[in-house]
Amino acid sequence: MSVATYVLHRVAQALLVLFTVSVLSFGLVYLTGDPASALVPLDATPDDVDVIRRGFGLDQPLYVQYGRFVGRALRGDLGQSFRYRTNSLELVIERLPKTVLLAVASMVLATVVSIPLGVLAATARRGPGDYLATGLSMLMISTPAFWLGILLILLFADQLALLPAAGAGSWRHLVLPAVTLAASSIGLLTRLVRATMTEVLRQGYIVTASAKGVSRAAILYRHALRNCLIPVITVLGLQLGALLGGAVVVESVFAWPGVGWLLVQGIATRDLPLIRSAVLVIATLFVAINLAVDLLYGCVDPRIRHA
Amino acid sequence: MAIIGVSIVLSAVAVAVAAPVLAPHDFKKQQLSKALRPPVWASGADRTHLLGTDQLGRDLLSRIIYGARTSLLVGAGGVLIAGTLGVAVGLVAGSAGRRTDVAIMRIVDVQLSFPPILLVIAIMAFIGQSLLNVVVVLGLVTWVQYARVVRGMTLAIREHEFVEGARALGASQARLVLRHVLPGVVPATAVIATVNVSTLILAEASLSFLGLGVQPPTPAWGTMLAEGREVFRLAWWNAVFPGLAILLTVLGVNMLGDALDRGR
Repeated sequence: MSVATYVLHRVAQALLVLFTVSVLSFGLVYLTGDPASALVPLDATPDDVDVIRRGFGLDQPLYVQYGRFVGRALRGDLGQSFRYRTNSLELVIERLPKTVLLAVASMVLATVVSIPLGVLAATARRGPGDYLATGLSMLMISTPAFWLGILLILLFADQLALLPAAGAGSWRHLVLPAVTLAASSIGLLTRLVRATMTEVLRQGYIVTASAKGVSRAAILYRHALRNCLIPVITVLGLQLGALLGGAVVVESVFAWPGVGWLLVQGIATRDLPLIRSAVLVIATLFVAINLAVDLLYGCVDPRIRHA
Repeated sequence: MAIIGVSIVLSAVAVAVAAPVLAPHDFKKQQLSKALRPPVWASGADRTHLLGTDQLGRDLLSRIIYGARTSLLVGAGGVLIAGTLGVAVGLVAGSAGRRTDVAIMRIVDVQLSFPPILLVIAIMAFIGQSLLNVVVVLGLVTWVQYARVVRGMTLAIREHEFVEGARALGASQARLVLRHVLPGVVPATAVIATVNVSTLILAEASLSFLGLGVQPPTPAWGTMLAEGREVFRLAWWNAVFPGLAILLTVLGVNMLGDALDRGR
């Protein structure tokens, strides 16, 4: 497959996904049965519901409604939030930088911790270092993030009074949510680094390098690590997407004012336009990240295009 | 590691099945006079409540024991739905010809490029929240992993000589797939299924924590954690023990999955 075909193929797929995302966020309100009564606040009268039904064009055929929905969405209008009485999409976009900050901080943390930990495990196979790293990563994969968050608040905010328990504003606010969100990624990446590193260390050129008298650190970090970075970076890209999803839960534990917390509040108050906007924005971001990662690697590593 | 994993999983299943026998109290009996009692080893404890009580004076241990039922039911039910659907779709994609294959894999790709927890949250926010809905939605969101792997294996197994041989002997397509290909994908499917169970249990806990999962009075570890969180500064045990139950169960399942993967 040539690069151009690959790019075209991948962009077409992303567009298909975006179409599905739009159908889904359009269709969500129909899952409730009567979209008109779902679209009004709980204290609305039957007359209000009728006004909404006509006002939103809910008496029209579905394809007409979908067309209008997409038209409005493209103009940045996904309806007013019931609770905040302003454009719901703008509300979501306003909160987006906070979520991105949290996800990126967690990803950096996960990378910085898991690469040395994975290398340690691979070089000390079946030794104490390996058992420690493997056990720790297993534990991190199995821990529910929201529970870890509560424990961290109990320890670092309540008992030791070192860090704030909730809110945002300074780097100190970022520490606990980022650690909480990063934990399962650290576990996953450590295992991945350990597995690929073990594989790479068996290769002939590593043996050659050590026979030539290259130092152990140089072998590990100059020769071996570079070769296990491609799978690691690919998974990192996918993890960024997973972190965006995980942020929904973690943000609500720490009252971190991002899209995730906004979404959870929206769900609690049945603020449907807000839920719709949040879902659409997070999903679109996820699709964009996946596309970027794939395109980058398709260009860098020819093996991926041919797979 | 395999032995520890198996023991944890079997214990969790035993606890869930024998909940009525094991639970020292009625899990829904409220006693406001006994609210927020600490575990037995702390001062001010009520000796009949081993792990203490919640804000309504309900016995925490009994609720955790019954909560195992919810988690395992979601794990087992979700795997059944996701596994059956995923394996069936994977077998069809791998054996029915190029066009069907491409069409199915396109659907799989689309679903994989969607953050699963977001999809589940979005759907659960709109349909009613019940145990059945949680199981069905989680099952329908996680089937793709099975489909991808099974399809790949089906394509590979079809090339083997014993399948060629069976075809030459006049075996029908259905017989080829069910008798010769299906047994070959079972080990890989078992590994995916264990990983899937831990994902499902964690996802159910997250949903219940957000109030989108199993609804009270049915005890679920995620719901208990959400309730415990409201009082965790006064009564840490309400937030700590349910989480420990989730961690231990998921850890057991993951250890089992690791062992299965290595033994393959």
